[in-house]
Amino acid sequence: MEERKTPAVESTAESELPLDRQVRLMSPTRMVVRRFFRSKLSLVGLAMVVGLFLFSFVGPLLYTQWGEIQLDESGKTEYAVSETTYTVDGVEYTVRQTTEKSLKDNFLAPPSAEHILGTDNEGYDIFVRLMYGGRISLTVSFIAVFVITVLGVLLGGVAGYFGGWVDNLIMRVCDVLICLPGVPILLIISTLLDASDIDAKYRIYLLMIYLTLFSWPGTARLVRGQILSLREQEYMVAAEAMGYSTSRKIFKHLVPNVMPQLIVQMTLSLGSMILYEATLSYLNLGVKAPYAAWGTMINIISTNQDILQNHLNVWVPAGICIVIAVLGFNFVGDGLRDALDPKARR
Amino acid sequence: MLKYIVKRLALAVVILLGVSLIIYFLIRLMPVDFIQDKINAINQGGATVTEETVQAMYAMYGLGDNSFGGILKGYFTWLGALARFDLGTSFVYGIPVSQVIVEHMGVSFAVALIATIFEFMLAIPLGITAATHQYSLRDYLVTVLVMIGISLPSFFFGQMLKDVLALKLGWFPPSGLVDATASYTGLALLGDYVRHMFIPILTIVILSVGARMRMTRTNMLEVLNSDYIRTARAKGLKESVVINKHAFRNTLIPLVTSLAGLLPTLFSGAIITEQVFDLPGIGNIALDAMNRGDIPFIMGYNMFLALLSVIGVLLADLMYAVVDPRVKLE
Amino acid sequence: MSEKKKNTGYLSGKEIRAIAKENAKVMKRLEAYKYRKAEESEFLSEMRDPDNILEIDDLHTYFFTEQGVVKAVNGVSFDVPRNATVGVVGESGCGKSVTSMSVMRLLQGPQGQIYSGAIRFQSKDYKRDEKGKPIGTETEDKVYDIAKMPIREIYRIRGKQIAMIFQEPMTSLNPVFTIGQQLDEVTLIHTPDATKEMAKARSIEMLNLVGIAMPERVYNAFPHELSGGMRQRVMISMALAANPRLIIADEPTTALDVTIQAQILDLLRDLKTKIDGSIMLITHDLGIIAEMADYVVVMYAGRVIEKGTVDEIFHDPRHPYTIGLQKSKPTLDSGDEALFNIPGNVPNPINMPDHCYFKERCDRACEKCSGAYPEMIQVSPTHYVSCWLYEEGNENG
Repeated sequence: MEERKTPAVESTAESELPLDRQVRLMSPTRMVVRRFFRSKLSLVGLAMVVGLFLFSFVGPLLYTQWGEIQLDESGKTEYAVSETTYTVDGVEYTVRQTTEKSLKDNFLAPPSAEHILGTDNEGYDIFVRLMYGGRISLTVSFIAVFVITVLGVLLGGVAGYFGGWVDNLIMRVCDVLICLPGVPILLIISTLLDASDIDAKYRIYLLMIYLTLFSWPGTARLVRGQILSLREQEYMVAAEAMGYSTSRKIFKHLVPNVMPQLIVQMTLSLGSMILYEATLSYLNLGVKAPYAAWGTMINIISTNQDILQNHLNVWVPAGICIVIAVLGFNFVGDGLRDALDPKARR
Repeated sequence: MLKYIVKRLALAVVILLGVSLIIYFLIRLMPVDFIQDKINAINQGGATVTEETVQAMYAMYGLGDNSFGGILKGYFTWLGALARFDLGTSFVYGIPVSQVIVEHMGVSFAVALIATIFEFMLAIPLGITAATHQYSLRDYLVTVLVMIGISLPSFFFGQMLKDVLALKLGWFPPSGLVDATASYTGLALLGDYVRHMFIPILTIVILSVGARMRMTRTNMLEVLNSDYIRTARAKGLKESVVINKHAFRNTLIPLVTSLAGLLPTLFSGAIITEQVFDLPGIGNIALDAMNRGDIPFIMGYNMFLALLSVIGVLLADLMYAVVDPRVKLE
Repeated sequence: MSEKKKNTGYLSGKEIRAIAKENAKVMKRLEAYKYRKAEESEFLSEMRDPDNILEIDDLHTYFFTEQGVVKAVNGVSFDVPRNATVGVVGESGCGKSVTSMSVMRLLQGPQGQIYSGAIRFQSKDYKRDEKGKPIGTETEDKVYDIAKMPIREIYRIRGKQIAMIFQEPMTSLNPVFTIGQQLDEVTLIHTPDATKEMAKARSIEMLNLVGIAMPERVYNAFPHELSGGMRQRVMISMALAANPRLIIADEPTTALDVTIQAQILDLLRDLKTKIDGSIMLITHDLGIIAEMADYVVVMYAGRVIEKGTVDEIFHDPRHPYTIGLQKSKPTLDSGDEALFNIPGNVPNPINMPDHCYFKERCDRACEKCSGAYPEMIQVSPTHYVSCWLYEEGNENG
């Protein structure tokens, strides 16, 4: 059989090195990057996420024809003419009555040069509202994931590091929170928000913050599990022996070791937070009119079957945006998981 | 074994107490005049909330007394009522909340059960084939499809299916549980149910099969890398036997365990799907209750779900012991 | 070299892509070869010496990793004679386990592949019809080249004629089946027309043979109910159940504690006389080799560096590495304070140069050692060594 030429460089100079030093391997960073990009899916996911970010945050700066809550008032005023015919004593009288029907708002317009994706039932430009909706979705999800991670790392770290009754207490709280039903609890909280008059603009932020209060146990359990296994490792014993302070031990040694899994979990929960936000908005609990969110934009079809059937341009784009966002984060998260998994076979 | 069950039960009670505390806390945050507004709205909407019902609710939650002792007393009164399965009286329906739940549970249960069966029937073979052909085209295809499934928002996908299959093609009725214009009986009625439930079930299956399939795949991969699979191969067993007997039996352990954890989903109702297809299931009722301010129902529904979750966790633990001979309940 | 200055010991992106591309090509070809359909004539072969049961000839087994090709087995040749025990010894990572996995064709594809070479095995099997179904109980002798066999044909040999005992008894038994279920399987698949009762009788007989006191009870037990030693006995009985001609024992005692180790070794030694077959014993423990083996093969970094009878290797070791190994073994009468240790590490077998791999660790290295890899040099009719010191005309040897 033919002998394979090894691609790595061998030179006479190098062969002076001992054999086991001559072997050139991939740097760990490069290995992760390579594993990540080996899967075309991660690449597609990354493109989706970056694309949506540009669309949502840069888009409105470039495309300024319409604003988020700027109505298109170019609709023509229509005049409805009704004719009534009376016959009085054999003579026909026709009465014409003209009523001015104010259709100032150009609503449900089909896609055109003026409105790339047309307008919705109120007369807002759908394309522009998609961008603003993306801002809300992405911002809210990032904040939520950030809060969840901070809470999870802190509480999980404390539980895992101190053990004993602290651990027990935090873990029981986790058990309780995990048994709480997700959306139904948000129904209650939403009712509470109704009770206290909150500006429609900030409502979704508050709701998501409440959501994070119930969502940190997953992260906390992950961090705790990692710490429990890590504190048995030799280098922790060494850190102990060197008299490092507790906070230094936790933040300099344990947290970096939990990072890979944490990053994966964060990416994946970004996707689920976007879904949550969209669902809440769809249920009319989150972002409320006139402000735009992808979920809110789909909400209209649950009451208006005409739009569901005949004006796909009103609701389908928003749905596609949600799918792209969630899918993008899921692909990236999956790719990261494969890339960061030290046990991966390939 | 007994000791283990008792221990788990005690833990379940503790969790349930914690859950009840949170839910009670949430209702206490609700201003009384807000509740009164809601009641007025309901009364204007046609239903009548009797003064009795309102007073019973105030008494049950101990509302109105905001001193620490009052809150404490209120909590225990409410807890006592819960222990007797008394969830209060629904504002909108005028009957006990538990009765409303029982009445609407059937539809949700039927939809969820059928969907779960199909979900497992699809997910297991797909997961196994993806794992045994890791990194192949087949694996990628299955992975991409289920990822799309996971990423679809249920309301969007449900509405799309409804638009295409029901409204455009007219193959299935778009909403409801029965055809209001016809009065079917017997088999014809069953057929009508099936026609109405088809798209909701399809929606749920497509959305949930992904997670289950990924779970199967991950597990299968882990099992396939284990030493005992190598032993099975070394014995000279055919690859099909290695996978379908030795590996499959081990993959089943977490799957069956997860089945027990699914218990809450079976009874809790899929809120969004039921809303999209206007099914009279418990999830849709809960959403409606929320919109109309039926506070006793929402509270009762949440407690009911929490109870189911706790039972689900408990069952999953016990199930694990049944499936895995290594686990001894101690 | 231009990239010399930033040679941090890491591969560049360009090199990585080149490796991946090349690997994918070779793996695809080898996988296709492994899964092909082939006539029996394609993998029939002839033994060099009819007294051997297994002849490994210039075997190359590679792992195609993203860091480069790991030549885990790089031109290994040795024979296993009939009714003999051959010990394969070497440090961890020297390719001894990979050799045994190659013989069993248990390499994890698509990364692990037999790249070239021959593994000739003297098969004695039931006569089979065209479809591979056994006809009656008549047997016939054939020589198969296992390396060339399509993977679907390996079932003629695997488990039936060559059985394997693994290193990890704790994890090598399926946790969800009873010992009985797992043992019966062997008889059921390898004996034509076997019934459940026959299988059970055979299993109990095997459990008895490996010295398990209450075979009935163990038969119905789950693996987790048994101790490590018991599990390894079960593994051995499982290997014996089909009456194999060759048993490969891959570090059978490494994972066990010392007293159990001794028991299992006694058992294996016992079995040697009881069964009509050969044993290939893989270990890093020279003591075990001395006790058990008739022939010894010493491996280093994927190559055989010395082979011979147990007497020759222990009393007349030639290769500096073998000599070092002997010296590093603790004995009671060695008065030295510290144990001898071979300096340096086993090289990582990626992109190995073409000179003796032991060069830098060798205290007797000469100029020639930087040249081509040394050929096998015959010292006695049974003793071979791969070292320039013993080249004809070299006085240093």
